[in-house]
Amino acid sequence: MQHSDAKLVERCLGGDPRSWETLVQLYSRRILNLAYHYTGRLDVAEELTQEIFLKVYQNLRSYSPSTGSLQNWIMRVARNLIIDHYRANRHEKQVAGSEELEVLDFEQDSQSASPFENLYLKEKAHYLMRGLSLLTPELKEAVLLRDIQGLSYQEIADMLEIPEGTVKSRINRGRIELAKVLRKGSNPEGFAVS
Amino acid sequence: MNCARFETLLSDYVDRTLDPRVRAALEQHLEICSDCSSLVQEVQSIRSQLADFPSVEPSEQLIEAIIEKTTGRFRVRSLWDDLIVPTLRPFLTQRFAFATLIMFVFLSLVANVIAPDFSAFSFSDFRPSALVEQADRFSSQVQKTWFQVRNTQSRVVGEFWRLKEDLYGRLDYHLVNMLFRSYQQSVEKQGAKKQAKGDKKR
Repeated sequence: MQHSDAKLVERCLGGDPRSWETLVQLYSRRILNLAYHYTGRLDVAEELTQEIFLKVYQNLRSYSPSTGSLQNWIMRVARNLIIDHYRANRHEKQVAGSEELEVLDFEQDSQSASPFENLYLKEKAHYLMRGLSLLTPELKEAVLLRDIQGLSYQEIADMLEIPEGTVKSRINRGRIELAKVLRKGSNPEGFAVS
Repeated sequence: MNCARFETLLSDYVDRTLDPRVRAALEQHLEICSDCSSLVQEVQSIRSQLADFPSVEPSEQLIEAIIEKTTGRFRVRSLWDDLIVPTLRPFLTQRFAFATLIMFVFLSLVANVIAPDFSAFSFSDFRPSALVEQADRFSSQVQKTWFQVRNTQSRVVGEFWRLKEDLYGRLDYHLVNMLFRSYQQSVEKQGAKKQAKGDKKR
């Protein structure tokens, strides 16, 4: 795997436009979803995805296969940029309320679900996102990567460059905090947390 | 086991990664502690709701914007990948393949019936004199067929007129019959009225 990663990077650095396009196709979905789940806004997530790929393109020379897989390296770059954006806009979000959650995009579900089900899913996601936004960035990140993105403890540890034990502990605290936050939030839409 | 200890192991319990003995101890605690029991239920529910969180697909426009932003170039276009494959993609479906097969079989059957038998031709058939002869034969055949068609047409038209006349004749008969009957009934009614008046006078 790392051998093919190295080859792909080598071809990109050699100026092969097809290889760079392959790399973009390979990782764009994952990065877009990470940004989307962090921000809750598709337009912001798309902007962030472009910024992330620009950073990856500019720093591709610094990738070394000996330090791990290309995916981990790219996701680390993505995560750092998303976290920077999150921290820079966190105060603004708290002041402005949770406006960004209003535009959660449900096009994927709209094909299979009825309008009523879509509305329910949208409200439910809105409610969960509101709870997540009240956690500290570290706890939100851990819960998001594990429970929404479905990454393993090891993958999260590699991405965040922290020990696996710390990952476990953050996920545990994040889940408990989220449950308590949602319980306190009086659940206006009537979504049961239990 | 107390509540604080339970909370530190909650994720392992929910993810089912605990040692069976520790798990049993946790379950014992859950039986007596309603707070921890409801917390477990809440975390399990949140976990499954987060797993159903919607995901999005990157659009073609986004991919193009990324490539343009990073390389300053427009996306590499190849005739095959960007023109031929997207054009053919809607047709490369099971339904379309089946319809094509049916159409092919149908056209083969039709061709089998109406198309000329090319194997019956020989080189001598294409000489000018042979072609003129063929054309004459074809022309007289067409003429003959045309006369047959005209004959059939006049016969059909004649038959049609005969049927029409017959129908009109029948209609006339029924009409006259109907008028006569109605006249007869009115005469009978008037006769009956006169008779009734005569009876009253008497």
